[in-house]
Amino acid sequence: MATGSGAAAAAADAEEKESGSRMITLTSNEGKAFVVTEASARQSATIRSMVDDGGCVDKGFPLPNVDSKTLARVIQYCDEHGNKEAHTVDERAALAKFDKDFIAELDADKAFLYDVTMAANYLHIQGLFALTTQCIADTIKGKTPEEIRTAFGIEYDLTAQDEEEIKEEDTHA
Amino acid sequence: MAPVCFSDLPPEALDDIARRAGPLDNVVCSAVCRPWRRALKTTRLRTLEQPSRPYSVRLDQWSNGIELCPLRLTRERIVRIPSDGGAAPVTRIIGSSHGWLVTVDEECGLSLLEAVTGRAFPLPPITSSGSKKVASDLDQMGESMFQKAELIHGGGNGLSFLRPGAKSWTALRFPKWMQRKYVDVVYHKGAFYTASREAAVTAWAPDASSSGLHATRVTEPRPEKCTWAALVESLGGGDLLMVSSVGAMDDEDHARHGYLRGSRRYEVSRYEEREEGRWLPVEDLGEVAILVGIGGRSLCVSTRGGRDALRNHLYFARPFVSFE
Repeated sequence: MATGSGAAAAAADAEEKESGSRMITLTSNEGKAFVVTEASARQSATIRSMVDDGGCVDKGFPLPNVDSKTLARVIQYCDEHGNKEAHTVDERAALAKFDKDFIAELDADKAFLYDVTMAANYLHIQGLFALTTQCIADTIKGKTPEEIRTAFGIEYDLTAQDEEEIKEEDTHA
Repeated sequence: MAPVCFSDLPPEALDDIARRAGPLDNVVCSAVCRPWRRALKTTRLRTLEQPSRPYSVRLDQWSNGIELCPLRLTRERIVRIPSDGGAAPVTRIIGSSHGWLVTVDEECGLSLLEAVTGRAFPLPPITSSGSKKVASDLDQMGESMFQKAELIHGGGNGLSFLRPGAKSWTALRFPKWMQRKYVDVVYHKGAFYTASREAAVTAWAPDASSSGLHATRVTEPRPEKCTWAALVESLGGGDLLMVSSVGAMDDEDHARHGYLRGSRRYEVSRYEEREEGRWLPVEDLGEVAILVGIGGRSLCVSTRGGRDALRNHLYFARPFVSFE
């Protein structure tokens, strides 16, 4: 249901007729507005608590830590999980398939995976956070530190003292 | 595209990732970069304190080395047994406990070997008294040595133990009421526990009045039900567990709680210290598997971190050998 501000009004109308739910505006750090259903926004515990506190629902929520590209992708997840039912076996299977495809795309673009992980952490979207951290954990499993650095493009910055400690830990572990 | 900055992941995210990757990978992750190292410090230290981290050991007699696969930091590691000072080459590894291997050399000399560092501590021979060097080595290791020295010999008919600083092994006297044959021995909370194949358990605790260990009966034998038993400490060492083989197939209870293997069933029970002599059935091991060493040492291992398929299973060291 997430779109740019242009189609937002039409989408909001349709949604309101459908579910009677309020629409909420999220603004990326580039100032781009995204209008989503309340059900979708409530996937984020951060936004949920602000909504429940009777906060600035009308004014919308600025998200200074999230860029447009990341926010669009995060909303894609929230829409799927917030707007769709997951009562029947088929519905749950469809969601699981969505998650699988969703994370496979992110896995192929580690920089984007990082951004989405950070956003999920910041917005407290539990399901999405679990999905991304599990994906990172799966990449780590069975690798040596050197292989992990390569996989994630991490620079080697350990000091001689760190190396000494690591050697010690390796023998104890 | 912005540069990838995985090293900036917040501690809570990193903790979650390390937890999902499994306990071993926590230590691996700590060796990746400084921010990860800092973020994982608390969890890492907790992980390192956990006892019973298993690693596989293989004796390579040709090169007189021991091959270990403890962690994935280094894919494998060969530990050379120090051969200076004219030590005889190790011919067998007869047991392991708390990270120590008990080795036997060509001349039947016993040693404790800290496999990951290669440090070796010779033990007094079983039959005669040892040298001053041994005494001083054991002295340095102090109280912990008592916990680590554990030896079965004589095919289950004799037990000997070594006090810190002692120059020779002390043979244990078996009380009249105890069946001499035992099939397993384990150290748990300050005492050695032996189990017979009929699941009779005896506790051996240090006795202030003599140099030996005092035997106390913990559980009566169950010859009608039990044909074999092994003892193992739970993960973290909090509980004493017994894996027992129950031959009877007609018992409804066992059909529900038993672990089937071939035509035998296996039960796991937990010693309830507050109700002396009681063993309570364990129906679900949770995120734990037990590696059952037949006639050797058993081990509880955590199956957390991607090894879910192994949870709540018993694994046997080798094909079951009938004791009948």
